[in-house]
Amino acid sequence: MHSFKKILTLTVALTACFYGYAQKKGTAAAGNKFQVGGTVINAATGKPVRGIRLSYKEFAASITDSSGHFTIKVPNAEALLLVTGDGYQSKEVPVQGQDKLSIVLYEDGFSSASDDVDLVQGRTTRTLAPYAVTGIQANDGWNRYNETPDSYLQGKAAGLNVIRRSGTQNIGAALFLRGINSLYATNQPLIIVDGIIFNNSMVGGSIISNNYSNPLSSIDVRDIDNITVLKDATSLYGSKGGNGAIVITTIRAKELGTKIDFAVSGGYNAVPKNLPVLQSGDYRTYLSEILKTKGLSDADIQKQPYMNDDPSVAGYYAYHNETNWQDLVMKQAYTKNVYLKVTGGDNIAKYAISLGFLKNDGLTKNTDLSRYNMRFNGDLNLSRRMTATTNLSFTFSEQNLRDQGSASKTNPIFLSLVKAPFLRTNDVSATGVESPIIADRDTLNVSNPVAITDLGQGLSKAYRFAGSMGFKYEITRDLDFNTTIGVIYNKVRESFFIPRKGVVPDSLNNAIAYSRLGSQVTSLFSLYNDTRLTYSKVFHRLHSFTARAGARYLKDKTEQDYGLGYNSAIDELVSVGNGVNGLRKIGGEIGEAKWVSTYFNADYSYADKYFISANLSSDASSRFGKNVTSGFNVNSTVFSVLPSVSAAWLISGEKAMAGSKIDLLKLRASYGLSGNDDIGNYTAQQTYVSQNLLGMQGLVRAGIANDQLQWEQVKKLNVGVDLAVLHERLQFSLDGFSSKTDKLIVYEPAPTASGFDYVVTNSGALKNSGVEFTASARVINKKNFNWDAGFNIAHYVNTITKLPTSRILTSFGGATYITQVNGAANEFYGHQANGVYVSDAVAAAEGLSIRRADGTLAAFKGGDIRFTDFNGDKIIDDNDRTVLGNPNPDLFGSFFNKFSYKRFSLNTVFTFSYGNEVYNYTRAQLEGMSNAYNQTTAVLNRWKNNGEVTNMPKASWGDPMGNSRFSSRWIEDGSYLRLRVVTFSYDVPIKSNFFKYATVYATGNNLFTVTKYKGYDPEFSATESIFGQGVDNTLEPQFRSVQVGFKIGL
Amino acid sequence: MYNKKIIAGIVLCFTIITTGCNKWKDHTALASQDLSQNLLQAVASNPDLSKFREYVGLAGLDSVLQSSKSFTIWAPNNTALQSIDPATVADKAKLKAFILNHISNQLYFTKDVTVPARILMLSGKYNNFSTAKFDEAALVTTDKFVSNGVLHTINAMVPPLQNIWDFINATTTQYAQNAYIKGLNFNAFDPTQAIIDSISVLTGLPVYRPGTGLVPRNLFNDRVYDMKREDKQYTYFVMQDANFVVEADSLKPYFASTSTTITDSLTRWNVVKDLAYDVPYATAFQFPQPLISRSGISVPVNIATVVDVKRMSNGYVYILSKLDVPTKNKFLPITIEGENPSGFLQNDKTSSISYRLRLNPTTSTNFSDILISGHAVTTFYSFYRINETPSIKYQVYAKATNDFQTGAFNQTINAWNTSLGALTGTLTHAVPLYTATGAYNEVYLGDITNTRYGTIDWRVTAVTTGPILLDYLRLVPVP
Repeated sequence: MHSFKKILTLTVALTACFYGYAQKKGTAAAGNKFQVGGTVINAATGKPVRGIRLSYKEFAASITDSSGHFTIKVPNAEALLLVTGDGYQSKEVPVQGQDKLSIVLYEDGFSSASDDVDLVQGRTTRTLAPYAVTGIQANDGWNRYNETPDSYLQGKAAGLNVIRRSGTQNIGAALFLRGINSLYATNQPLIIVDGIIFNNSMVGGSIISNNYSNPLSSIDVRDIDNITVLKDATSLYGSKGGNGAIVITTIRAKELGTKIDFAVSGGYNAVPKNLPVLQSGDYRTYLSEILKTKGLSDADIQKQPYMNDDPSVAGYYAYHNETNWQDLVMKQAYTKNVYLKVTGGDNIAKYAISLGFLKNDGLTKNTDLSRYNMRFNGDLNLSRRMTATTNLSFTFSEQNLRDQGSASKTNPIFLSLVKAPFLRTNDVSATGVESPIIADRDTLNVSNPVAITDLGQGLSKAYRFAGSMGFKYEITRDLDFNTTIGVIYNKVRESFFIPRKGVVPDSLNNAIAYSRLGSQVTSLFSLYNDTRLTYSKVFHRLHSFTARAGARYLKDKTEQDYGLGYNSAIDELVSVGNGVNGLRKIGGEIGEAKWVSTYFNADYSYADKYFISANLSSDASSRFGKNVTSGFNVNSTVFSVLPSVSAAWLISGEKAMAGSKIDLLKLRASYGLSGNDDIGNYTAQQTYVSQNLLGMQGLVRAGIANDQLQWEQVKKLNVGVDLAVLHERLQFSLDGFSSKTDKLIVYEPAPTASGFDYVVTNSGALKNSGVEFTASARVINKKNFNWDAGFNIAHYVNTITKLPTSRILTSFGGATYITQVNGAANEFYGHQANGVYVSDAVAAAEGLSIRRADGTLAAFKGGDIRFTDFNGDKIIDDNDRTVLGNPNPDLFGSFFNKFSYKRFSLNTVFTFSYGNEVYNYTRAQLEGMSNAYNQTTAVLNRWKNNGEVTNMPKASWGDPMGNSRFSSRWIEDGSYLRLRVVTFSYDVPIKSNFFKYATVYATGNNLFTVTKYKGYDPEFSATESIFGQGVDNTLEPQFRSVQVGFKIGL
Repeated sequence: MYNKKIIAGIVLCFTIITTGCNKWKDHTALASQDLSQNLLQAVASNPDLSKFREYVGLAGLDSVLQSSKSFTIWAPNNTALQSIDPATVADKAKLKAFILNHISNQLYFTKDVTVPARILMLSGKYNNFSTAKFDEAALVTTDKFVSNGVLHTINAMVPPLQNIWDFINATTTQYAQNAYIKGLNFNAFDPTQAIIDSISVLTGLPVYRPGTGLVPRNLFNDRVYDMKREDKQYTYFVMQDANFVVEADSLKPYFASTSTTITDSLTRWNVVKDLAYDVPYATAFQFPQPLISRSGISVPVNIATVVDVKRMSNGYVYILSKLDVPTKNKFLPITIEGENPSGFLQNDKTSSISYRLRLNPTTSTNFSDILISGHAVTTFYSFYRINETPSIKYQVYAKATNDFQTGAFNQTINAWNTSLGALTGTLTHAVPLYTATGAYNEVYLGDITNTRYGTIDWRVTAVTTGPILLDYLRLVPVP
């Protein structure tokens, strides 16, 4: 903290110095003295290009003639020229003291350091930003309409780990930017859409198991112009910038002429490859074995209806089938989509309007998504000094869903795996005639998956309105006043119905729940204002100085109301009001938070070579405790102090670099503080909750108030270098970072006498360090054929440095995570399995046992799993657990190839994740051999007799020895390499004046995945919390899809 | 140039895709070749089981051995099957039963039978299985398991044996005893087996279709031990005819009835009911002396009288030349507990009846009794019904201690023979006051002789409207 104040003082002093210097010399400013000449040539053809504009700030401009020649007078020999032209890339070219320049330009869309990035301060280029930023020109969004903005980002930015939650449409992805920065607060980067803070978390949580109403899905990817991933120095976002920021800018009219884009497409979703589960015959053999271990006598087993092999006995046909349940539950599906975008305007008003509609069938039978979205963005010149912008968008989506994840009675995909294959979907008569009535749950107590898909219901309707208006008033030439007001209203209505027919009942406290009904409404209202003064001036045509001072205000109001009902009289009564009155549950939550932030920013650059920026923000929030010790106190309101400083040196702008092969060489460094205010709206305050005790209703304290509860504080250090050589044909970017979170929120165990289990304190700390590397190359650069290739890769190490307890154990889906000092956050923690005891004698020789609930010991025998006895006490218990793996990847990133030949182009993007371990909960159920669930074919190798060498233990009902406990048996390598997107497109030659262009294309998603992971797919994220990452609890898997479409321009 | 690169790329991609698909292959590959076989294939692939394989086919059991349950087979090898009876091979039903007697459901490994087990075969019979033997045969190879079961080979056939019930039915001409037992067959109505035609509107009860729901039963199986059961093992004694008649006739005086047929039937029943035991005695040396029958009668079997022993699927049959159960053994004393009355003279006096738990101060033990006082009914009585009482003299002992009133009182004990419709005896019981010497001891009241076999109501009767008090009555038969 102290060092920061120093840096701050220094920065301010430095700025003041420059300012003073500039003022003194300002009067002696000279005109443009230095003349530069040269040619601009096309990189592919090598021919000169005419009509290319060259400019230097507001001081000079020129245009190339028919032979590509230009001359321009600039104030000094170290200017940075901006070169632009229709159909060509924008490029910043340093003069480097040369009077003859040869400028090579690539086509429009060529990715380089001169690409736009959107910062808090406004739009600039990456060359000029002293930060670690990635700018994504979202021009490929139009053929990836099935993506949400978060999943679209996968592989786009080094260091941004995008894990799609599941294969469900619209469900989006969990975003982790540069590792894990928090344990209990959010790890999702701050999302800013068109200058407005975008609340990107679902209010409350879905009542349809493991679904997520993703707020970002309200933004059509084709409406996005630019996405900037801001990795460091996010202190301008104050206590919200701890996880970095993603700035999304939507479409605006760039030209005055009316431009219409119209796209239609349709697609096909394939079904993932089935998991290899037992067929009827092998399953029945397994079943007769497992029932024997349950203690059933042979006669009892033979009495089971499925053991009868005589067709004349009633029930024969109900139990002699070969049903592939997976095929019945997961369906190939079709998608369709229409999109229209109109931009244009005049010099008073410009507009961009888009309309979209899509209807996609989902992977699970009877699930689908319909979405209607519209957007209106306007730019208005109100007066000579005053401009305004408006952004309005409205999205409505309606989605049919089914339970997924850990819902063993109602998740159709899970049920399709464990359901006995000899059963059938519908009732069947004694003579084998199938009835249209769906079969009830079976005698093995497994629900009928088809009852869930066909009789069950799950509906989510989401409405989101986002609107903002911004005004800019030019007070003087150098001083602007800006204010933006934004409103977001989001509402999600959900309802579900689980029928009584075909489904295993749930047990409630005081009743059995046969049919289950529910309905929920969640809403978010968010009001945002950002007001600032900007002073910007160039002194002596060398010193650029910009300073901003402003304030932000954010108010979030959330509300969740749900009702759950049970046991409606018949399965035709599906709404929650039809449940039994006495069993109905009503609940909800109201949340409100206010945040005020004042901020100050100063950017200074000298000769476009040396850049320095200083930022400071100071926040107050309704979430902070009253007696927070850090920060400062104004009228008993606590304000955080979060400064940062960053600097960059554009070495390639130096005269010494003249004539070298290096087009760009830039060093960057930044250090700063930011925070994470996701500490709970009311955690710092004393709250009460209602409590029912023997029919008496009362209030009890909800926990211990911690009035010192504050934001988590993240210190970020970043050092980076950008390099481009050979006329930008090779480009590299390398960043090293270290971030430390202290004041980490931890659930600290409370003394027993307090009556509470824990108290929330800022008593932990962790750090992340890592590197990111991006490279891209124009491999082939011919007139008719281009090949671009590139990759990005990131690595980080997460380490817990301080905890109030020795370790934190959490569990999810049967997995246990350990978080301990000097280890990474949430590592898998369980028993080490080393194969299967070959015989009783071998097991007896080793002499290991478990302790039963009654305290007696049970010795392992042949066919049990050989667990490692770490503490050597011959008893396998919780003390023998060890770290089994880390769900964080060692390396992740993507590589791409882009080929274009004449009017054809082919684009491929591979994404990969390497070195992350995952817990295969699904396989643990499918190879646990402890109940009547169907199993994978691997259990054919189950141990049966002494001397058998196998890695599959014996089948035993209820698993008394814990062979299927959470252990290294279920931990798998989650590494994968995926052909994430491949797009093939063709620009149809158009001679008409009516059409500007026409493109047909085909896109494939997830076409193939290379992985050793034994599940449907290695990519999933079951929870928002980090304590649930890497657990495959049978979510809807990713699937292959293909879209074919066309796009025309008018 | 580029084409080559592209081709190389495609080849690479293809390799990656195919390796990607193999992830399950390694995991689910069968660890042993055997697991891809079913039992039929396992039997067929063993040359030493070629005969067994052939007979399985002849018996039409191929589909069973291929089916998807789990089985254990103890297959006799070719040497063992050389001696098979050609008649068995010729008769498909017999052959099937023979083969099924070597096959069970479920998996049985030798490791599971360190304690020998009796295992139900698909033939319905049970065979013994231990680590070295399957019934009488020795195990040759053991514990080969394939996809649907386990295969052991044995060196001898284990043909299905008849059970005791089959034996009884098959030897009725040979043994009058068995003929008598077969004669105890009857048909009983089992509503679960019957077809319901309708539900009566008048009574709400089901109306069963005539002729349905009748199941054949046997009194011996019902009341002694069920000789049909295969899951239990018994020892059954058969007396040769001469001895059986003598033994039965010796009981005639005690089953006086209205006809000799009835008396004969009763005496025979009372002989056979003590001839079955639920312990399989493999040799006569294992008999305890004496054997105690299910009805509590001690039966002294003299080893020297054993003529023959037959092994059955559910036990052993011993043929005895002579079995003489002393008549006194045949009749057991009866104890009637006062607090368990079968009824009263009239049923409206519950308020006068106390069922008491009392302390016997001399032994410091508790006892229960019945006290009826203040009933105000002349000669009120409680009665205790004893069925199947033989026609025999009983010595009557009674115990009752007056601890509720100071005045001593009398009550009478009478025996009402329901068949005769008359009292067959009356005794007076002077109930001692608790302070009297020996007040807590039982008292011999005298003898009552029953003259007709049948149901006797033992009545404890009040003298006029006096109280009734009884701990117990003990009836000792004197043959």
